[in-house]
Amino acid sequence: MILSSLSLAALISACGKTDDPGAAKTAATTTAPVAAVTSTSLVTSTSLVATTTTAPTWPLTAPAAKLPATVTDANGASVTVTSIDRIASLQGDITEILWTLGLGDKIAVVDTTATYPDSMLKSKPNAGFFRTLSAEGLLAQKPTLALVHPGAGPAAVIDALKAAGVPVVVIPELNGTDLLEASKKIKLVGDAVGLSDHAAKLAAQVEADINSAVAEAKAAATTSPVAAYIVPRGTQVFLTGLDSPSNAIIAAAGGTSAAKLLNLKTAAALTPESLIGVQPAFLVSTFTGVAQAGGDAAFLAIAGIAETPAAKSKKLLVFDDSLIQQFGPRTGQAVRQLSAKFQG
Amino acid sequence: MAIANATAPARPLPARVEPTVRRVPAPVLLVALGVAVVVLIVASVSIGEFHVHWLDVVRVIGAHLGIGSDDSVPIAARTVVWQVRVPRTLLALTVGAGLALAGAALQGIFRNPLADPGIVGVSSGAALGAVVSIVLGVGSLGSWSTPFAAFLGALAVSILIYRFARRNGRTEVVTLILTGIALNAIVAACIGFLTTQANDQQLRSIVFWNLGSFANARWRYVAISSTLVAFGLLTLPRLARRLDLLALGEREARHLGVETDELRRAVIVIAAVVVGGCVAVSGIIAFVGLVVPHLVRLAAGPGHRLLLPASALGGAALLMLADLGARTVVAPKELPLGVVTSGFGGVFFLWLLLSVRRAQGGWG
Repeated sequence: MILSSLSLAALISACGKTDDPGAAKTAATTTAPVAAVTSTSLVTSTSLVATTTTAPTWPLTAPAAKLPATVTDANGASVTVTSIDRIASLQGDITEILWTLGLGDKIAVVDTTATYPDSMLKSKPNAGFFRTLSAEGLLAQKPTLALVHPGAGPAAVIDALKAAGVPVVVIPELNGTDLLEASKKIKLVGDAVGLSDHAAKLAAQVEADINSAVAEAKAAATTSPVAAYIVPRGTQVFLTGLDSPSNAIIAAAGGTSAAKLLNLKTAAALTPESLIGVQPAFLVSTFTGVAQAGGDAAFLAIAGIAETPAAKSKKLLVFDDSLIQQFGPRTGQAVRQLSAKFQG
Repeated sequence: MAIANATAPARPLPARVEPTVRRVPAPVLLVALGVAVVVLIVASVSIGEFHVHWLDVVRVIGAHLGIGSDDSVPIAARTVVWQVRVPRTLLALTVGAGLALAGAALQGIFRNPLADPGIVGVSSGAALGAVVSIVLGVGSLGSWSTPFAAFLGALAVSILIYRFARRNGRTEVVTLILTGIALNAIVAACIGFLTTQANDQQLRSIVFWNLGSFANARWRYVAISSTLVAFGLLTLPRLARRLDLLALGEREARHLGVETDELRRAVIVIAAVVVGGCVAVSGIIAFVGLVVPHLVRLAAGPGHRLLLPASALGGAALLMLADLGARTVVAPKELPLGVVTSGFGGVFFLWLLLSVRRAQGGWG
């Protein structure tokens, strides 16, 4: 669906992101398997292009960083950064922000939560899942700065990084319910790499993009279809809660999230009946989620999903994980894409 | 190498049907395992993703022991050696020794080759304690809360199982093992329920903890595990003679003057303390406590005076080797330790079982 290869490729080129061939390639290759299902609910690509005329050109070109930079991180620690030549970027959204700022070539090592942009990630060493890092593996990449999620660890690994003289800046999660947390996160990352002004510019662009996307979605909204954001895990169906970016994005795009109807404050495994009970018109998931279920046909056949109106009309919208699960520079894009599907 | 010798007689059995299992003499086995442990200690502190010259490794360790200076070594290399590799190596060494030692002693008192720390509830109790502390946030000991809760859980569940299995001052082995299975199931259900109450972050901590790892090795954890394992090494081998007599049979052992119930109680409590401490600092590491004693028996026979110390050495060697694999095979990523121990160890053990069966025509 929503991310059908045609419309996304069109969208990307409309955004002027042709300088990132990897992004177009990702969309084309990863969406291929779902094309058959999507075609039934495909919104014409022109409608998407029409709404994205203001989208900026990314990645930006980064000016020289003002170093040393001293920041107070999410843990209240005062950290002085002296070099950003080799950044250990240990969270997917931080990695995407660094790339968008134009610092892709400064990233020395990433973690497995990084999914965008694919073209860059292919050439970066991967330190594994950010909660199960290896101290020696990270230090072998000779980082000069580590930007980490508050949950990065194990704790002994973070301590070893600090002991080895690597400044560790903890960037708060900022994946709640306010779409503009995207710009806050961008500013915090910018401060940590000595590019506050540059990051403020990007943050302003992103904020304007999100605001206009939300306004457009509101103006276009004639109905508010029920959409369920689903993470399949084995034979169980998980719905993210109202505290998650996915449901905030669904709401901003003019949809009514299943989590809201079920009053799910945090993520939870659902009984099949409760999902059928809210009669979702759309199912939203990620490439990883659908792949784990065994492809979209298998996804739509899961008990409790198969009986929904959305499954019967094959309205499954598959997103890049980092686009829908967290706030970032492309949050406005996510709102536009969802809104187009909801009103299509 | 000792093990290979034991399985070497792959030729057809001689006509005289007599169990002529070739055994490795005790001193040879102990020396061989001791050498393996020393070699693995050296390898473990020298090998890794981060390149440190071996002379620098010697300088850093020497400096911390008060010999020479490591000022010429870059700070990152000093950190890698002294804060990452050395504590990891020592943690793997002590935890491996503790788990295998406790496993050997438990198999002895149950006179059952399937007994391992899991069966008396030590592992599942520790897991329950840890999960309770993670999900309910119980404990005001900061980063000590979870290890301490695991330790308490291990003791509580193993004592509970022992109590249930005891009647009129007697403990029946089969009842004890079946009670263990029942209580383990109940504990697993409690853990399963608690995980549905966990948020995403707690869920990830639980998974990490259940897989077992030395990635979070710290010197203070080394202090805990080495103290408790030393306690086990000082106490359990003293019971070796009595365990040998118990192997003759419950009644026979009593006739020979062994207080079998007292022996069982002592071994269970000591094993719970040792394994609880190990699990508390490294998470759950399956397989070592079950398999290492079997490997030693295959090589050198069932006598506990050799089995207990040899199992401790073998467990230490196995876990150091596994941890070396965990942190180097897919570097810079870290492989879960359970994958290495259960995966590779399981395949090796299966191969060994099959080849022993071919050579001796049976098992046990």
